Amino acid sequence: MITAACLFLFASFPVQLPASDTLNVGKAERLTRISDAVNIALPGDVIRVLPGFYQEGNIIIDKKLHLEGIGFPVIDGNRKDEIFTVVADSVRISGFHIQNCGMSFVKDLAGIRVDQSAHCIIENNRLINTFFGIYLKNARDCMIRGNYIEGLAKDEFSSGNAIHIWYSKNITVEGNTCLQHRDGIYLEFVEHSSINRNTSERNLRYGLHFMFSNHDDYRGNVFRNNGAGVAVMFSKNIIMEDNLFERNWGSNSYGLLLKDITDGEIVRNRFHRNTIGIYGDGANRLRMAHNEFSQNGWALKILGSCYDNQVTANNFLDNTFDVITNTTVNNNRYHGNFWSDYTGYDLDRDGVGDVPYKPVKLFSFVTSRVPQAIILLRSPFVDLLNFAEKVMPSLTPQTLEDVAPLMKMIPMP
Amino acid sequence: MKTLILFALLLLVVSSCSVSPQPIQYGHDNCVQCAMTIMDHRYGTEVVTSTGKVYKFDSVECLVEFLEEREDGKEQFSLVLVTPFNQPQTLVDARKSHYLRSKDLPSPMGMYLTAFKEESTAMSFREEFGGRVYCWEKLNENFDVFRLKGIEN
Repeated sequence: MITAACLFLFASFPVQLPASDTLNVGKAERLTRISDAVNIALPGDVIRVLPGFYQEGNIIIDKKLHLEGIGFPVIDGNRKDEIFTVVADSVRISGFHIQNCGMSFVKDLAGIRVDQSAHCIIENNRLINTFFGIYLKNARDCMIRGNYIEGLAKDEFSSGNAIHIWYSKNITVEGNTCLQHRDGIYLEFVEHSSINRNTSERNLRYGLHFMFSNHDDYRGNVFRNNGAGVAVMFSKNIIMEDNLFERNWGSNSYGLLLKDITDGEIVRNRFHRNTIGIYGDGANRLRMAHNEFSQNGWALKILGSCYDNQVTANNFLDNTFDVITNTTVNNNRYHGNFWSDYTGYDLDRDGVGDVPYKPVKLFSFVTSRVPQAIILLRSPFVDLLNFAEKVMPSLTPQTLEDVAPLMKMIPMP
Repeated sequence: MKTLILFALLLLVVSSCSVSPQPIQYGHDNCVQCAMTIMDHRYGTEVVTSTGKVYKFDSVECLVEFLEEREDGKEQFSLVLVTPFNQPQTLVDARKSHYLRSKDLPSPMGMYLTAFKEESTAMSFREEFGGRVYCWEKLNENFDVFRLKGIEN
Protein backbone atom coordinates (compact mmCIF):
# COMPACT_ATOMS: atom_id res chain seq x y z
CA MET A 1 0.00 0.00 0.00
CA ILE A 2 2.77 2.37 1.03
CA THR A 3 4.80 1.47 -2.05
CA ALA A 4 1.80 2.13 -4.17
CA ALA A 5 1.36 5.53 -2.60
CA CYS A 6 5.03 6.29 -3.18
CA LEU A 7 4.81 5.21 -6.77
CA PHE A 8 1.79 7.38 -7.24
CA LEU A 9 3.62 10.35 -5.75
CA PHE A 10 6.63 9.87 -8.01
CA ALA A 11 4.44 9.44 -11.03
CA SER A 12 2.49 12.62 -10.42
CA PHE A 13 5.56 14.74 -9.56
CA PRO A 14 8.31 13.69 -11.92
CA VAL A 15 11.71 14.49 -10.48
CA GLN A 16 13.30 17.23 -12.56
CA LEU A 17 17.01 17.76 -12.63
CA PRO A 18 17.86 21.45 -12.20
CA ALA A 19 18.67 22.29 -15.79
CA SER A 20 20.55 25.53 -15.33
CA ASP A 21 21.91 27.04 -18.49
CA THR A 22 24.83 29.36 -18.93
CA LEU A 23 24.37 32.34 -21.23
CA ASN A 24 27.39 34.29 -22.42
CA VAL A 25 27.15 38.02 -23.06
CA GLY A 26 29.89 39.86 -24.96
CA LYS A 27 30.66 41.88 -28.02
CA ALA A 28 31.52 38.79 -30.06
CA GLU A 29 28.72 36.64 -28.63
CA ARG A 30 25.20 36.08 -29.87
CA LEU A 31 23.98 38.13 -26.90
CA THR A 32 25.55 41.57 -26.71
CA ARG A 33 23.31 43.13 -24.05
CA ILE A 34 22.92 42.00 -20.44
CA SER A 35 19.25 42.98 -20.38
CA ASP A 36 18.52 40.76 -23.41
CA ALA A 37 20.15 37.86 -21.61
CA VAL A 38 18.10 38.56 -18.49
CA ASN A 39 14.91 38.62 -20.59
CA ILE A 40 15.41 35.24 -22.22
CA ALA A 41 17.04 33.48 -19.24
CA LEU A 42 15.08 31.04 -17.11
CA PRO A 43 15.18 31.13 -13.32
CA GLY A 44 18.33 29.43 -12.08
CA ASP A 45 20.44 30.28 -15.12
CA VAL A 46 23.91 31.77 -15.03
CA ILE A 47 24.70 34.82 -17.16
CA ARG A 48 28.42 35.24 -17.81
CA VAL A 49 29.34 38.74 -18.90
CA LEU A 50 32.64 38.90 -20.78
CA PRO A 51 35.02 41.87 -20.54
CA GLY A 52 33.78 45.01 -22.32
CA PHE A 53 31.93 48.27 -21.87
CA TYR A 54 28.17 48.03 -21.38
CA GLN A 55 25.84 51.01 -21.27
CA GLU A 56 22.25 49.81 -21.14
CA GLY A 57 20.49 52.08 -18.68
CA ASN A 58 18.64 50.43 -15.82
CA ILE A 59 18.91 46.61 -15.77
CA ILE A 60 16.04 45.00 -13.85
CA ILE A 61 16.58 41.47 -12.61
CA ASP A 62 13.21 39.89 -11.91
CA LYS A 63 14.08 36.20 -11.63
CA LYS A 64 16.56 34.01 -9.79
CA LEU A 65 19.81 34.45 -11.73
CA HIS A 66 23.55 34.46 -11.19
CA LEU A 67 25.14 37.36 -13.04
CA GLU A 68 28.84 36.73 -13.20
CA GLY A 69 31.29 39.31 -14.51
CA ILE A 70 34.40 37.82 -16.10
CA GLY A 71 37.46 40.10 -15.89
CA PHE A 72 35.42 43.00 -14.47
CA PRO A 73 33.23 44.11 -17.40
CA VAL A 74 32.38 47.80 -17.08
CA ILE A 75 28.70 48.64 -16.60
CA ASP A 76 28.22 52.35 -17.06
CA GLY A 77 25.13 54.28 -15.98
CA ASN A 78 25.94 57.29 -18.14
CA ARG A 79 25.20 59.50 -15.09
CA LYS A 80 21.48 59.05 -15.72
CA ASP A 81 20.25 55.79 -14.32
CA GLU A 82 20.25 53.36 -11.51
CA ILE A 83 22.26 50.38 -12.75
CA PHE A 84 21.19 46.97 -11.36
CA THR A 85 17.75 46.72 -9.72
CA VAL A 86 17.04 43.34 -8.16
CA VAL A 87 13.39 42.49 -7.51
CA ALA A 88 13.63 38.70 -7.19
CA ASP A 89 14.89 36.29 -4.53
CA SER A 90 18.20 34.40 -4.68
CA VAL A 91 19.90 36.67 -7.19
CA ARG A 92 23.69 36.74 -7.19
CA ILE A 93 25.76 39.53 -8.74
CA SER A 94 29.52 39.18 -8.76
CA GLY A 95 32.61 40.46 -10.51
CA PHE A 96 31.35 43.66 -12.13
CA HIS A 97 32.86 47.10 -12.41
CA ILE A 98 29.88 49.43 -11.99
CA GLN A 99 30.31 53.12 -12.55
CA ASN A 100 28.68 56.51 -13.08
CA CYS A 101 25.26 56.07 -11.60
CA GLY A 102 22.74 58.88 -12.02
CA MET A 103 21.96 61.38 -9.28
CA SER A 104 18.42 62.31 -8.42
CA PHE A 105 17.07 64.71 -5.94
CA VAL A 106 13.99 62.67 -5.00
CA LYS A 107 15.14 59.11 -5.66
CA ASP A 108 18.07 57.37 -4.05
CA LEU A 109 19.63 55.91 -7.20
CA ALA A 110 22.13 53.13 -6.59
CA GLY A 111 24.74 51.00 -8.30
CA ILE A 112 22.97 47.86 -7.13
CA ARG A 113 19.54 47.97 -5.50
CA VAL A 114 17.86 44.99 -3.87
CA ASP A 115 14.18 45.67 -3.36
CA GLN A 116 11.88 43.39 -1.32
CA SER A 117 13.98 40.33 -1.91
CA ALA A 118 15.65 37.55 0.07
CA HIS A 119 18.74 35.34 -0.17
CA CYS A 120 20.62 37.63 -2.54
CA ILE A 121 24.41 37.74 -2.73
CA ILE A 122 26.31 40.80 -3.92
CA GLU A 123 30.00 40.04 -3.97
CA ASN A 124 33.39 41.09 -5.30
CA ASN A 125 32.15 44.03 -7.35
CA ARG A 126 33.81 47.40 -7.83
CA LEU A 127 31.48 50.38 -7.65
CA ILE A 128 32.94 53.72 -8.63
CA ASN A 129 31.08 57.01 -8.51
CA THR A 130 27.70 55.51 -7.85
CA PHE A 131 25.47 57.90 -5.92
CA PHE A 132 24.43 55.18 -3.48
CA GLY A 133 26.59 52.08 -3.86
CA ILE A 134 24.62 49.04 -2.69
CA TYR A 135 21.09 49.76 -1.49
CA LEU A 136 18.94 47.17 0.30
CA LYS A 137 15.30 47.94 0.96
CA ASN A 138 12.94 45.49 2.68
CA ALA A 139 15.46 42.71 2.18
CA ARG A 140 16.27 39.69 4.31
CA ASP A 141 18.93 36.98 4.51
CA CYS A 142 21.26 38.73 2.09
CA MET A 143 25.05 38.85 1.88
CA ILE A 144 27.16 41.84 0.79
CA ARG A 145 30.74 40.64 0.59
CA GLY A 146 34.11 41.82 -0.69
CA ASN A 147 32.94 44.83 -2.66
CA TYR A 148 35.05 47.92 -3.25
CA ILE A 149 32.92 51.07 -3.25
CA GLU A 150 34.49 54.43 -3.90
CA GLY A 151 32.57 57.67 -4.25
CA LEU A 152 33.76 61.02 -5.42
CA ALA A 153 31.91 62.89 -2.71
CA LYS A 154 33.51 66.27 -2.27
CA ASP A 155 30.55 67.83 -0.52
CA GLU A 156 27.45 66.57 1.22
CA PHE A 157 25.14 67.28 -1.73
CA SER A 158 26.68 64.88 -4.18
CA SER A 159 26.93 61.94 -1.85
CA GLY A 160 24.82 58.96 -0.90
CA ASN A 161 25.91 56.11 1.34
CA ALA A 162 28.27 53.39 0.11
CA ILE A 163 26.14 50.61 1.62
CA HIS A 164 22.62 51.62 2.60
CA ILE A 165 20.33 49.13 4.32
CA TRP A 166 16.76 50.03 5.20
CA TYR A 167 14.04 47.95 6.87
CA SER A 168 15.88 44.67 6.53
CA LYS A 169 16.95 41.72 8.63
CA ASN A 170 19.58 38.99 8.72
CA ILE A 171 22.01 40.83 6.49
CA THR A 172 25.74 40.09 6.49
CA VAL A 173 28.10 42.87 5.37
CA GLU A 174 31.61 41.48 5.21
CA GLY A 175 35.02 42.50 3.92
CA ASN A 176 33.87 45.54 1.95
CA THR A 177 35.82 48.75 1.41
CA CYS A 178 33.71 51.92 1.60
CA LEU A 179 35.39 55.18 0.66
CA GLN A 180 34.36 58.79 0.28
CA HIS A 181 30.60 58.69 0.59
CA ARG A 182 28.21 60.35 3.05
CA ASP A 183 28.15 57.36 5.43
CA GLY A 184 30.25 54.30 4.69
CA ILE A 185 27.61 51.85 5.93
CA TYR A 186 24.16 53.08 6.93
CA LEU A 187 21.55 50.95 8.68
CA GLU A 188 18.04 52.14 9.49
CA PHE A 189 15.49 49.74 11.01
CA VAL A 190 17.84 46.80 10.50
CA GLU A 191 17.73 43.79 12.82
CA HIS A 192 19.86 40.71 13.49
CA SER A 193 22.60 41.73 11.10
CA SER A 194 26.39 41.51 11.19
CA ILE A 195 28.94 44.00 9.91
CA ASN A 196 32.34 42.34 9.90
CA ARG A 197 35.89 43.13 8.73
CA ASN A 198 34.99 46.12 6.56
CA THR A 199 37.12 49.20 6.01
CA SER A 200 35.42 52.59 6.02
CA GLU A 201 37.55 55.59 5.20
CA ARG A 202 37.28 59.26 4.25
CA ASN A 203 33.50 59.35 4.48
CA LEU A 204 32.01 62.79 5.04
CA ARG A 205 29.85 61.85 8.00
CA TYR A 206 30.15 58.42 9.63
CA GLY A 207 32.08 55.28 8.81
CA LEU A 208 29.18 53.19 10.11
CA HIS A 209 25.80 54.49 11.24
CA PHE A 210 23.04 52.66 13.11
CA MET A 211 19.59 54.27 13.33
CA PHE A 212 16.67 52.57 15.09
CA SER A 213 18.38 49.21 14.67
CA ASN A 214 18.41 46.46 17.31
CA HIS A 215 20.26 43.19 17.92
CA ASP A 216 23.10 43.83 15.49
CA ASP A 217 26.83 43.40 15.81
CA TYR A 218 29.96 44.75 14.19
CA ARG A 219 33.37 43.15 14.58
CA GLY A 220 36.87 43.62 13.25
CA ASN A 221 36.20 46.73 11.16
CA VAL A 222 38.51 49.68 10.54
CA PHE A 223 37.12 53.22 10.71
CA ARG A 224 39.69 55.77 9.71
CA ASN A 225 39.57 59.44 8.83
CA ASN A 226 35.81 59.82 8.66
CA GLY A 227 33.79 62.84 9.82
CA ALA A 228 33.22 60.57 12.82
CA GLY A 229 33.96 56.86 13.10
CA VAL A 230 30.74 55.15 14.11
CA ALA A 231 27.40 56.52 15.30
CA VAL A 232 25.05 54.21 17.14
CA MET A 233 21.77 56.03 17.67
CA PHE A 234 18.35 55.10 19.04
CA SER A 235 19.26 51.43 19.08
CA LYS A 236 19.40 48.49 21.49
CA ASN A 237 21.63 45.47 21.98
CA ILE A 238 24.48 46.33 19.66
CA ILE A 239 27.70 44.31 20.06
CA MET A 240 30.89 46.19 19.11
CA GLU A 241 34.08 44.14 19.22
CA ASP A 242 37.65 44.20 17.88
CA ASN A 243 37.26 47.36 15.80
CA LEU A 244 39.83 50.05 15.15
CA PHE A 245 38.74 53.70 15.40
CA GLU A 246 41.52 55.85 14.12
CA ARG A 247 42.17 59.48 13.25
CA ASN A 248 38.58 60.67 13.35
CA TRP A 249 39.71 64.18 13.98
CA GLY A 250 37.92 67.56 13.93
CA SER A 251 35.98 69.97 16.08
CA ASN A 252 32.84 67.82 16.26
CA SER A 253 34.45 64.46 15.68
CA TYR A 254 34.35 61.20 17.60
CA GLY A 255 35.63 57.69 17.28
CA LEU A 256 32.31 56.35 18.49
CA LEU A 257 29.15 58.37 19.09
CA LEU A 258 26.51 56.76 21.31
CA LYS A 259 23.17 58.53 21.38
CA ASP A 260 20.14 57.06 23.17
CA ILE A 261 21.23 53.45 23.19
CA THR A 262 20.91 50.70 25.78
CA ASP A 263 22.41 47.29 26.46
CA GLY A 264 25.49 46.94 24.36
CA GLU A 265 28.99 45.57 24.56
CA ILE A 266 32.09 47.57 23.60
CA VAL A 267 34.95 45.11 23.90
CA ARG A 268 38.56 44.86 22.63
CA ASN A 269 38.37 47.94 20.40
CA ARG A 270 41.22 50.36 19.79
CA PHE A 271 40.67 54.11 19.81
CA HIS A 272 43.71 55.90 18.50
CA ARG A 273 44.10 59.63 17.84
CA ASN A 274 40.47 60.67 17.79
CA THR A 275 39.27 64.06 19.03
CA ILE A 276 36.93 62.18 21.37
CA GLY A 277 37.27 58.39 21.68
CA ILE A 278 33.73 57.61 22.83
CA TYR A 279 31.03 60.25 23.19
CA GLY A 280 28.03 59.05 25.19
CA ASP A 281 24.71 60.91 25.46
CA GLY A 282 21.82 58.84 26.77
CA ALA A 283 23.90 55.66 26.69
CA ASN A 284 22.84 53.14 29.31
CA ARG A 285 23.79 49.68 30.58
CA LEU A 286 26.82 49.30 28.34
CA ARG A 287 29.88 47.23 29.13
CA MET A 288 33.18 48.74 28.00
CA ALA A 289 36.04 46.35 28.62
CA HIS A 290 39.51 45.52 27.27
CA ASN A 291 39.57 48.55 25.00
CA GLU A 292 42.64 50.64 24.37
CA PHE A 293 42.40 54.43 24.25
CA SER A 294 45.60 56.03 23.06
CA GLN A 295 46.50 59.62 22.16
CA ASN A 296 42.94 60.89 21.96
CA GLY A 297 41.96 64.43 22.90
CA TRP A 298 39.37 63.04 25.29
CA ALA A 299 39.23 59.26 25.69
CA LEU A 300 35.68 59.28 27.07
CA LYS A 301 33.11 62.04 27.12
CA ILE A 302 30.22 60.64 29.11
CA LEU A 303 27.36 63.06 29.71
CA GLY A 304 25.11 63.08 32.76
CA SER A 305 22.39 61.35 30.75
CA CYS A 306 24.37 58.08 30.85
CA TYR A 307 23.56 55.48 33.53
CA ASP A 308 24.81 52.11 34.71
CA ASN A 309 27.71 51.72 32.35
CA GLN A 310 30.66 49.52 33.33
CA VAL A 311 34.13 50.74 32.36
CA THR A 312 36.51 47.97 33.38
CA ALA A 313 39.89 46.58 32.37
CA ASN A 314 40.70 49.16 29.71
CA ASN A 315 44.02 50.81 28.91
CA PHE A 316 44.08 54.61 28.89
CA LEU A 317 47.36 55.67 27.31
CA ASP A 318 48.56 59.24 26.82
CA ASN A 319 45.22 60.90 26.22
CA THR A 320 45.09 64.66 26.74
CA PHE A 321 42.10 64.03 29.01
CA ASP A 322 40.94 60.61 30.12
CA VAL A 323 37.33 61.25 31.10
CA ILE A 324 35.11 64.30 30.94
CA THR A 325 31.52 64.73 32.00
CA ASN A 326 29.13 67.64 32.42
CA THR A 327 27.69 66.81 35.85
CA THR A 328 28.97 66.51 39.39
CA VAL A 329 27.27 63.18 40.01
CA ASN A 330 28.45 59.91 38.60
CA ASN A 331 26.14 57.06 37.64
CA ASN A 332 28.68 54.79 36.04
CA ARG A 333 31.29 52.38 37.34
CA TYR A 334 34.99 52.75 36.55
CA HIS A 335 36.98 49.83 37.94
CA GLY A 336 40.30 48.11 37.38
CA ASN A 337 41.57 50.10 34.41
CA PHE A 338 45.13 51.08 33.59
CA TRP A 339 45.62 54.86 33.44
CA SER A 340 48.99 56.07 32.16
CA ASP A 341 48.48 59.33 34.10
CA TYR A 342 48.13 57.51 37.41
CA THR A 343 50.80 58.63 39.87
CA GLY A 344 49.82 56.52 42.88
CA TYR A 345 51.78 53.74 44.54
CA ASP A 346 51.33 50.07 45.31
CA LEU A 347 52.89 49.29 48.71
CA ASP A 348 51.37 45.84 49.09
CA ARG A 349 52.53 44.95 45.55
CA ASP A 350 49.27 43.35 44.49
CA GLY A 351 49.32 45.14 41.14
CA VAL A 352 46.52 47.47 42.15
CA GLY A 353 47.23 51.08 43.14
CA ASP A 354 46.56 51.91 46.79
CA VAL A 355 44.95 55.28 46.13
CA PRO A 356 41.99 55.73 43.77
CA TYR A 357 42.51 57.44 40.43
CA LYS A 358 40.24 60.33 39.52
CA PRO A 359 40.16 60.52 35.74
CA VAL A 360 38.25 63.82 35.55
CA LYS A 361 40.63 66.72 35.94
CA LEU A 362 39.36 70.06 37.09
CA PHE A 363 40.70 71.71 33.99
CA SER A 364 38.93 69.34 31.61
CA PHE A 365 35.79 70.19 33.55
CA VAL A 366 36.45 73.87 32.92
CA THR A 367 36.94 73.28 29.21
CA SER A 368 33.62 71.48 28.97
CA ARG A 369 31.96 74.69 30.20
CA VAL A 370 34.24 77.14 28.40
CA PRO A 371 35.78 75.40 25.39
CA GLN A 372 38.05 78.35 24.62
CA ALA A 373 39.89 77.77 27.91
CA ILE A 374 41.75 74.93 26.15
CA ILE A 375 44.31 77.52 25.11
CA LEU A 376 45.61 77.47 28.71
CA LEU A 377 46.19 73.71 28.60
CA ARG A 378 49.93 73.72 29.20
CA SER A 379 50.06 76.65 31.61
CA PRO A 380 51.61 75.97 35.05
CA PHE A 381 48.63 77.59 36.71
CA VAL A 382 46.43 74.82 35.32
CA ASP A 383 48.68 72.19 36.89
CA LEU A 384 48.29 74.03 40.16
CA LEU A 385 44.50 74.08 39.78
CA ASN A 386 44.40 70.35 38.98
CA PHE A 387 46.56 69.59 41.96
CA ALA A 388 44.39 71.67 44.28
CA GLU A 389 41.29 69.86 43.03
CA LYS A 390 42.97 66.50 43.50
CA VAL A 391 43.65 67.32 47.16
CA MET A 392 40.28 68.91 47.83
CA PRO A 393 37.69 67.94 45.23
CA SER A 394 34.91 70.49 44.95
CA LEU A 395 33.81 70.75 41.32
CA THR A 396 34.57 67.39 39.77
CA PRO A 397 32.27 64.43 40.43
CA GLN A 398 33.55 62.94 43.68
CA THR A 399 32.40 59.41 43.09
CA LEU A 400 33.84 59.25 39.59
CA GLU A 401 36.97 57.34 40.46
CA ASP A 402 38.68 54.06 39.83
CA VAL A 403 39.30 52.53 43.25
CA ALA A 404 41.38 49.75 41.74
CA PRO A 405 43.65 51.36 39.15
CA LEU A 406 46.14 48.91 37.72
CA MET A 407 49.88 49.50 38.02
CA LYS A 408 50.69 47.74 34.75
CA MET A 409 49.19 47.94 31.31
CA ILE A 410 46.78 45.16 30.46
CA PRO A 411 48.24 43.06 27.64
CA MET A 412 46.01 43.31 24.60
CA PRO A 413 45.86 40.68 21.88
CA MET B 1 32.71 111.80 18.04
CA LYS B 2 29.50 111.37 19.99
CA THR B 3 27.64 110.14 16.95
CA LEU B 4 30.43 107.73 16.20
CA ILE B 5 30.17 106.17 19.65
CA LEU B 6 26.41 106.08 19.35
CA PHE B 7 26.71 104.44 15.98
CA ALA B 8 29.16 101.88 17.32
CA LEU B 9 26.83 101.09 20.18
CA LEU B 10 23.90 100.78 17.83
CA LEU B 11 25.89 98.44 15.61
CA LEU B 12 26.72 96.31 18.62
CA VAL B 13 23.08 96.14 19.67
CA VAL B 14 21.86 95.38 16.17
CA SER B 15 24.52 92.77 15.43
CA SER B 16 24.17 90.87 18.68
CA CYS B 17 20.39 90.72 18.79
CA SER B 18 19.28 90.59 15.19
CA VAL B 19 16.62 87.97 14.71
CA SER B 20 17.36 86.60 11.29
CA PRO B 21 17.72 83.16 9.76
CA GLN B 22 21.22 81.79 9.52
CA PRO B 23 22.08 79.51 6.62
CA ILE B 24 22.73 75.91 7.63
CA GLN B 25 26.29 74.78 6.94
CA TYR B 26 25.55 71.30 5.64
CA GLY B 27 28.29 68.85 6.50
CA HIS B 28 29.55 71.02 9.36
CA ASP B 29 26.71 72.01 11.68
CA ASN B 30 25.45 69.44 14.15
CA CYS B 31 21.80 68.96 15.00
CA VAL B 32 21.13 70.37 18.47
CA GLN B 33 18.60 67.64 19.19
CA CYS B 34 20.14 64.41 17.90
CA ALA B 35 23.82 65.41 17.64
CA MET B 36 24.14 64.20 14.06
CA THR B 37 25.96 66.21 11.44
CA ILE B 38 23.35 67.89 9.25
CA MET B 39 23.84 66.45 5.77
CA ASP B 40 20.68 66.32 3.72
CA HIS B 41 20.00 69.76 2.30
CA ARG B 42 16.34 68.93 1.62
CA TYR B 43 15.56 68.48 5.31
CA GLY B 44 17.42 71.05 7.48
CA THR B 45 15.36 73.09 9.97
CA GLU B 46 16.09 75.97 12.29
CA VAL B 47 14.80 78.02 15.22
CA VAL B 48 15.80 81.61 16.00
CA THR B 49 14.97 82.97 19.45
CA SER B 50 13.92 86.53 20.21
CA THR B 51 17.48 87.22 21.36
CA GLY B 52 18.90 86.01 18.06
CA LYS B 53 20.19 82.63 19.23
CA VAL B 54 20.04 80.06 16.44
CA TYR B 55 19.35 76.35 16.88
CA LYS B 56 19.78 74.09 13.86
CA PHE B 57 18.34 70.63 13.23
CA ASP B 58 18.66 67.93 10.63
CA SER B 59 14.94 67.24 10.25
CA VAL B 60 11.36 68.24 10.99
CA GLU B 61 11.31 65.46 13.62
CA CYS B 62 14.10 67.04 15.66
CA LEU B 63 12.59 70.51 15.31
CA VAL B 64 9.21 69.42 16.67
CA GLU B 65 10.79 67.46 19.52
CA PHE B 66 12.95 70.41 20.47
CA LEU B 67 9.95 72.76 20.56
CA GLU B 68 7.97 70.23 22.63
CA GLU B 69 10.77 70.00 25.17
CA ARG B 70 11.14 73.76 25.47
CA GLU B 71 7.52 74.68 25.91
CA ASP B 72 8.31 76.16 29.33
CA GLY B 73 8.32 79.67 27.86
CA LYS B 74 11.83 80.57 29.02
CA GLU B 75 12.75 81.33 25.44
CA GLN B 76 10.69 83.06 22.78
CA PHE B 77 11.01 81.46 19.38
CA SER B 78 10.72 84.26 16.86
CA LEU B 79 11.44 82.23 13.78
CA VAL B 80 10.65 78.58 13.19
CA LEU B 81 11.95 77.52 9.80
CA VAL B 82 11.95 74.45 7.57
CA THR B 83 13.48 73.60 4.21
CA PRO B 84 10.93 72.87 1.48
CA PHE B 85 11.82 69.50 -0.05
CA ASN B 86 11.78 70.84 -3.59
CA GLN B 87 13.79 73.97 -2.71
CA PRO B 88 16.93 72.62 -1.03
CA GLN B 89 19.00 74.99 1.09
CA THR B 90 16.27 77.55 1.55
CA LEU B 91 14.34 78.22 4.74
CA VAL B 92 10.66 79.17 5.02
CA ASP B 93 8.19 79.66 7.88
CA ALA B 94 7.42 76.26 9.41
CA ARG B 95 4.08 77.37 10.82
CA LYS B 96 2.78 78.20 7.34
CA SER B 97 4.26 75.13 5.65
CA HIS B 98 2.67 71.81 4.74
CA TYR B 99 3.96 68.35 5.60
CA LEU B 100 3.67 65.19 3.57
CA ARG B 101 3.97 61.92 5.44
CA SER B 102 4.63 59.19 2.90
CA LYS B 103 6.32 55.85 3.38
CA ASP B 104 8.14 56.35 0.08
CA LEU B 105 9.89 59.48 1.32
CA PRO B 106 12.06 58.47 4.28
CA SER B 107 13.26 61.51 6.25
CA PRO B 108 16.45 61.71 8.34
CA MET B 109 14.87 60.73 11.66
CA GLY B 110 12.64 57.89 10.59
CA MET B 111 9.20 59.51 10.74
CA TYR B 112 8.70 60.17 7.01
CA LEU B 113 8.07 63.90 7.34
CA THR B 114 8.74 66.10 4.34
CA ALA B 115 8.05 69.84 4.30
CA PHE B 116 6.64 71.94 1.45
CA LYS B 117 6.03 75.65 1.29
CA GLU B 118 2.81 75.49 -0.71
CA GLU B 119 -0.05 73.10 -0.08
CA SER B 120 -0.38 72.58 -3.83
CA THR B 121 3.22 71.36 -4.10
CA ALA B 122 2.66 68.99 -1.19
CA MET B 123 -0.43 67.66 -2.93
CA SER B 124 1.39 67.13 -6.22
CA PHE B 125 4.13 65.16 -4.44
CA ARG B 126 1.38 63.20 -2.74
CA GLU B 127 0.07 62.25 -6.17
CA GLU B 128 3.42 60.65 -6.92
CA PHE B 129 4.42 59.20 -3.56
CA GLY B 130 1.14 58.71 -1.69
CA GLY B 131 0.62 59.52 1.98
CA ARG B 132 -1.14 62.33 3.83
CA VAL B 133 -0.60 66.07 4.03
CA TYR B 134 -0.72 67.91 7.37
CA CYS B 135 -0.58 71.58 8.27
CA TRP B 136 1.75 72.66 11.11
CA GLU B 137 -0.94 72.45 13.81
CA LYS B 138 -2.13 69.01 12.73
CA LEU B 139 1.48 67.83 12.48
CA ASN B 140 2.06 68.79 16.12
CA GLU B 141 -1.24 67.28 17.23
CA ASN B 142 -0.38 63.96 15.61
CA PHE B 143 3.31 63.92 16.40
CA ASP B 144 3.07 61.50 19.33
CA VAL B 145 1.02 59.11 17.24
CA PHE B 146 3.66 59.26 14.48
CA ARG B 147 6.35 58.59 17.04
CA LEU B 148 4.68 55.56 18.58
CA LYS B 149 3.13 54.01 15.53
CA GLY B 150 4.84 53.06 12.32
CA ILE B 151 3.61 54.16 8.95
CA GLU B 152 0.94 52.24 7.06
CA ASN B 153 0.10 54.00 3.84
